[in-house]
Amino acid sequence: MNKSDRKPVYKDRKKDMPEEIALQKEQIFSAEAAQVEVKRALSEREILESVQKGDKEAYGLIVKRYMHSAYYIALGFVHNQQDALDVSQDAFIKAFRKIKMFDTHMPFFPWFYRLMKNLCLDHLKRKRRMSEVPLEDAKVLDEARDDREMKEALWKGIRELPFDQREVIILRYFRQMSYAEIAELIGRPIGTVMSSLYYAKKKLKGILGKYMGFE
Amino acid sequence: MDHKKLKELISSYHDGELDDKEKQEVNDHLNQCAECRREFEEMGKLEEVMKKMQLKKPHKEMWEVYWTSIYNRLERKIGWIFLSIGAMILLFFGGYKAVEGIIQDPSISLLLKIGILTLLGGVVILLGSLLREQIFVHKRERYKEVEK
Repeated sequence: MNKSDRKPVYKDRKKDMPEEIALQKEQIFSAEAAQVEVKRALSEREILESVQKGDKEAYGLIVKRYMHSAYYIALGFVHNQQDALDVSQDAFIKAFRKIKMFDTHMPFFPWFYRLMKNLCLDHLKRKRRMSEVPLEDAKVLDEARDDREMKEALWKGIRELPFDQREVIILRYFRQMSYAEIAELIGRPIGTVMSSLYYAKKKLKGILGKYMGFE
Repeated sequence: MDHKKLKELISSYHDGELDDKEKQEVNDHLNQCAECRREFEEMGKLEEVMKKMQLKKPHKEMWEVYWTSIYNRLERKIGWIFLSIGAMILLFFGGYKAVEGIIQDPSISLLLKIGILTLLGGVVILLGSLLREQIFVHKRERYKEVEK
């Protein structure tokens, strides 16, 4: 089957993911869910139209809606909690300044995501220029989990992936997004997402093999 | 179907992204290919481990001040813009008055007047050059045309 012929397969994976992430995903991809939120009688479009008129308070609703996703995705890219906080906040500030360029008929988060991704890439380039030695591994994984050593090795492997592969891994495993959602966010066909994930997983499987004996 | 394609499908199988027909194709192939069966098992193990990996959660307080911090920075930026505009108006007005005073003051020698005016002219040219550079940089700013 040709990759471009593939149709998005939306699966209900809510039962497999933390409630917090499930809610955030609904906010990103479902206009209906955004509209029924208790505190927000206004739709995202109406809120963003107010923001375009300079209403900073309205922008607060948008920031609060997406700050978790923005922070965790940035953390996956920049590998450090303080940097993830700074970059994600910088992205919200930049988005506010560019908000007049935003088409309110479109979902906000994919537009914001592309902007934040550029900031993350710039941040990484700046960090590489500043340090002659490789960046130290920041401890960004949850310490309460088992198999710490193996997971740290996998995380190191994720860090060393080419950016397009790392991006799909972060979105797939740390934000539990489907292929269709990832494709929408990064603006690439589903076939490309599928392929990038396969190559990324192939490399990670090699790392895991050293610990599980299927090298 | 070639092995590379099948391995991509195996990866997607574990991601829950295949429809029934594709699943059947993979299952049929697995029944007759030991190499792909091994790939399927190994990908399954990777999936299990990856699903258990989680990023560190920040302190709750961080979320409480997240928006406030952005709001303050947005407010401060507007403050800086007003401050800069005010300072520029005062600077130009003061400069104009100073030049006017120097030219009209008969007690200041012609040579001193020329010296002061040349100095001020230099400052104006340098400021103009800096301003032009800023406009040039802004026009080529990377995120200016962010995709909608």
